Amino acid sequence: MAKLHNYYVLCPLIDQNSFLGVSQDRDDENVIVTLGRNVVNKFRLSDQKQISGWTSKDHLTSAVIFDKEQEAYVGVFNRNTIKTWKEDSDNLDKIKKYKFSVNIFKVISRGNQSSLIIFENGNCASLPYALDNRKSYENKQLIKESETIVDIACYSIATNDYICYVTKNNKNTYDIITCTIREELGDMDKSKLNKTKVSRPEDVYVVGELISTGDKPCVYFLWSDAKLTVYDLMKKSWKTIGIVPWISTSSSVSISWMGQDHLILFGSNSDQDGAIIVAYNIILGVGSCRYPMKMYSENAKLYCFNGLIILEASNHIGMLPYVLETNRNLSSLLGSHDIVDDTCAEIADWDTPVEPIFNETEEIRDLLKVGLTERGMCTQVIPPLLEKGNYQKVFKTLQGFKDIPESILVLLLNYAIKLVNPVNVDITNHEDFVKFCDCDDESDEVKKVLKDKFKILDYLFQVTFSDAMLIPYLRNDLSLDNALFLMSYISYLLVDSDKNFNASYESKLFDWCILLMDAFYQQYLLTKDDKTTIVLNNTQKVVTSLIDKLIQVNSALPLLHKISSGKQMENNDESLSYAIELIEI
Amino acid sequence: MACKLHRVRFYNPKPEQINCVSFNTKSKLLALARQDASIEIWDLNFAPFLLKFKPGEANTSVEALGWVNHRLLSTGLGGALLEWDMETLSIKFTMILTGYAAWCLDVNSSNTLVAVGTEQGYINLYSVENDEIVYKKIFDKQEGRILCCKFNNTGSVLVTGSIDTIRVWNVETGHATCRMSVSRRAKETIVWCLAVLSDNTVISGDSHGRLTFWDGNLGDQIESYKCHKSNILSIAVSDDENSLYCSGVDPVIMNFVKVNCSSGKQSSAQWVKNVQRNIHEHDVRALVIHGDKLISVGADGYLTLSSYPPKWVMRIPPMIPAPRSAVCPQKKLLLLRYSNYLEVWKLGSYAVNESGNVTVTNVNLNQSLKQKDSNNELEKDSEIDALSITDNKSEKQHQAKSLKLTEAPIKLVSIQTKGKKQIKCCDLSPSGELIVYSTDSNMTLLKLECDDDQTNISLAKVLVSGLECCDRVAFTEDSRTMVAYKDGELKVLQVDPEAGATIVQNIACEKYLRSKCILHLQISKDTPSKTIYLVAADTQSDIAVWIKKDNKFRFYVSLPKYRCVPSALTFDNEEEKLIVAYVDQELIEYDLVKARASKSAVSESAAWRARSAAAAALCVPPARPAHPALLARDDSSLWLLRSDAPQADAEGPTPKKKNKKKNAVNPNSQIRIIPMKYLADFHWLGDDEAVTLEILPENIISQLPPVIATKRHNV
Repeated sequence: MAKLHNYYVLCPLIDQNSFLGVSQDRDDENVIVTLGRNVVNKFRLSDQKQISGWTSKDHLTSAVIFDKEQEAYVGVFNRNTIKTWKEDSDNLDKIKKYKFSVNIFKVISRGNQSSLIIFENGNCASLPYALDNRKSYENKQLIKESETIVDIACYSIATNDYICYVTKNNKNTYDIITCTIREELGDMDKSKLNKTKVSRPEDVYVVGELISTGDKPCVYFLWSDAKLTVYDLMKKSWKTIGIVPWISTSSSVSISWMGQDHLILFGSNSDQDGAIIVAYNIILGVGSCRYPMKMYSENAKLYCFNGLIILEASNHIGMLPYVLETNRNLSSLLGSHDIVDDTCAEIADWDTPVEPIFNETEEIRDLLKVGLTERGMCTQVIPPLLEKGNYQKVFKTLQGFKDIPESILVLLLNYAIKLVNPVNVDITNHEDFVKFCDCDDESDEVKKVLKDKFKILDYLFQVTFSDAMLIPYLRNDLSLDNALFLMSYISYLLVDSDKNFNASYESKLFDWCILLMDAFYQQYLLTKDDKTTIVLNNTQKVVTSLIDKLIQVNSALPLLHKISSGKQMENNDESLSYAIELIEI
Repeated sequence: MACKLHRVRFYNPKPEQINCVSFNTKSKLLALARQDASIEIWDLNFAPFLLKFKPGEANTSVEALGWVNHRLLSTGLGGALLEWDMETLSIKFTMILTGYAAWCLDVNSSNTLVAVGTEQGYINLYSVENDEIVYKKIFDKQEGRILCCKFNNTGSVLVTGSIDTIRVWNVETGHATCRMSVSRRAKETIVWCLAVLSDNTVISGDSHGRLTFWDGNLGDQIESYKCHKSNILSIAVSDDENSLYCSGVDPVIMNFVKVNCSSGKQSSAQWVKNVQRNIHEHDVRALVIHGDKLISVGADGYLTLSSYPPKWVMRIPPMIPAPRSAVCPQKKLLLLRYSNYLEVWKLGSYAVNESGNVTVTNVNLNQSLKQKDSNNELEKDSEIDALSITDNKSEKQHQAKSLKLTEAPIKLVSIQTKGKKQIKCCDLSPSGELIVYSTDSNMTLLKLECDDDQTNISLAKVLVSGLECCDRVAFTEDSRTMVAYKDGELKVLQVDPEAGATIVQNIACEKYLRSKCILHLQISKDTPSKTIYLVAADTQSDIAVWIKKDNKFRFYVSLPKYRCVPSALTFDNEEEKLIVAYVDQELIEYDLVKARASKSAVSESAAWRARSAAAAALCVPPARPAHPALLARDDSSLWLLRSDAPQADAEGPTPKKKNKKKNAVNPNSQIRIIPMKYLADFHWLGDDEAVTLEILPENIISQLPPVIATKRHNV
């Protein structure tokens, strides 16, 4: 899920019409803002301070980029001149000019590869190559006079580099042009040029587009009926993702890629009396978060850098920090999903295979044919397996299911606890318990088996579940002893174990801890058992120590940052309560 | 010469609020009482100097003070009128009042009558003639507590203020002649303070921040000004009755002046608002006009003197009276005195590199001096004039180099007094093994034993026989003899840490010291002529010197009489001189061998003369001529006085020349000032090592109660 924080201002805009764009600097946390025709500034995102900047007499005509290969800034001046300069140059007017006979559209950086120059006629070339051959550089018109380039991006599939154009003609229809680009030269391999028309049978038009160059290169289009479609550049196929809610599609919408299956869209709000920013999950096809804004501006430039949305607003550049999580809180999505009747009949190519596309196990083969849900299958398959008692089989089958019913989950938990058999271990004795969980006392063979058994338990913690549904099952089917064992085991996993797990698994562990507290809190309260007290105290200790560590990290971070940026520590002597000083007396 | 200075800033005794003051216009003595019921007598004849200090007692309070000629009276919530013995600072006479707790007290101008206002609404009138307190009358009982009372100039009329009401009484009959209602729109109004002018105009300050002028004969209101945002707690009227100051919980000090406006034949006087001063941040409890200076005191504990024009402010911070610390140079121990406990600290040590030089961690330009906080509207202390003259040279010295600490200071022990009584005096023996302190009922000698690594610290009581308590105490350099002063007698005690302390000699002082209250008691180190001197100075400015011969102290000489009290004195052991600083900034060097007094050359310089604070201590540096001849300390600066010719080895000859020119009046004397706020004490630890005890103003403020919230638009 996406969460948008509070909006604030990065810098004011001199003139919105002449604003050229924002691009990433050498460091992640700095951005280059090409403010106007002759001002370029560098800002630090963390404190919105300007760290450097340049002015020029010549007019800039496209956003300045940082070329990692040359470690230099590259800017396009007067549409036909390229200048490159280093961090420490102070006067841009004295830098050598590279004048081209063809007009330059923009320069785009390609990570560690050399940057590409895009010409207005649609051709492109790598920066060093183009600079060397600029006098002889001639090329025929690739894009018709009636067309304009809307967006350009580079992507690579396997080892091949591609360039993708989105163009618009005077009839307001869009085309996608893709082409491989040759290494070194960076120009297009014309023989492999591919043009795709962007159209839908309905009477709709495109209001926003984005070329996404992430793991899956694709082009997103937002249509005037709020439908979001995607053109997969690898498979060369179209797919409809869904309807984007909350946003008005009667005016243009700016789109950017947030990461983790999320798009960010900026457009006018549905009442058309203000603007709105919408985070949209492309997997679920739902809007996951929205942020209302005062002013809408047409074709506003929108970027996502370093966990921040950067947005061109009417008189300033704003920043909006965001957090993305792959958490499963479906409730936050309620009401965000609009269902629109597709009035237009579409001939669907279901491409239905007779056989399922995944490898089914024999247990579920029959059930699949009946058409049972995953949950249903799970309820039928797992309990008999548990009775047979082959834990490896159970584990394997279990991994085949994504959606496990809560009742089965509790069954599995009980089963897993029985497997590791914690009856003989005293969970109030921390050392023994850690030894038990590390399987230290056993011979190598037993150890391996036992470790596998623990793996089932570890796996169970990452299964998705619904809190409300799980609690009654936990109360009924899990014994207090087992609950205490689970709590101790979770604290062991959090602190003492050397198993590696990711943040989302850790967050799951905390959820389980809370859940166990919730389900058993009455029993915890009423039992006078020492064991309960010890386990709860231990859990509390674990949690507080983790919180302490977070606070320490939090306080150490600015200090480390200060040291790494080479600033001397300020030693405020006057406030020290004791000092020995050398003083002339 | 560069000196390693231990700057101790962790000494932060709790500042006590000042409750009330009384100023004796004849003797120019100011009595003030603090929240902890301690009473201080300040001499304001010259530079303000704390003359006497009576420690407070638990569960007592002083709400009002009054002078009857040289007698000091006080009253408080205990419900008694007390007279204090000015010699021994003990209660001389107690009179139980009618009407429980007393809130206010006033003495008439002829010093014959005292009126005390009480909780139950009774006014007690006492005759104080012939050194007695005799019950005279109780006025008719009135409703509610009496919070303030004032006699008029002739003493025939008494005006009292209580909740919602001001009453005017005929002192002869004891009946009220007039009642003025202060309440407005049924809101309760407390009259906190009153003033009566010679034309029987009554001025009142109340809890709504209103200053009101009344006709005392008719009971009519003449004028009313809403001049403060909160309670007005004090009014002070000048002697010529042309100007008055008021202030209170809203600590702005407002000045009103009388303006005569004559229109045609009728001439009438009107009080109009004049200047206002932002001197305090906390409640102002009392105001006193002393000549051209205004004395203001309050919840911040500072004794503040100010004048206008030109704007000038001098703040005397709330501090434990001297001696407030002692050192043992050898073991680097520091004894700190708090109001009712003592602390012994082991000072930190600095890092020394292979070549034996100290390692400097950083050089910080000391800019605190000129720092101006634009946000703070409070008027700053007026700077020492001499500072600007001598400042040009000391630019270099402001570069304080901090040394790397290898050991932080450690608190070895904290000693609570018996019964949590306040400490009168204390000392640490030069050997560092004995600590002595006395409250007003109990004297304790303790033996401190401590390993080098401070792991084993033990404190054992050493028996003191024959002496219950004392006013002053001092050790000889060998730590085997202790001299204590009590009730006009010097007791010489032989001290053995194992066996205890016993009196070996009693010296009656009445022949040499006129007052029983002494200011200073010091014992010299071994002088070149193998004699040890003992000096005692009293509040009547008598200074007497004894010398030790054959284990007995014998009277040696009395110093010539001087017009004011000595604020500080010290021995110059090398040259066998006694150096005395008086509160009028005179500096006398007394040659003990030749028994001759001479004025110190330094005291002639204009910069020294222009000082507004008394020298709180004098200190002779151990290694000369590397060091200046003399160090003088007051609350906010350290003065380095060099009477000999300047040395050639010092760096930077150019600025020095400049400096010489400026001090052209007396080229031989050189003065350098190191400002430190607030400098509580200074001790030498060795030839090039010293310790300063500093109380930072922000540490005082942080311990004070919160102030009333004020809107500041620029924040």
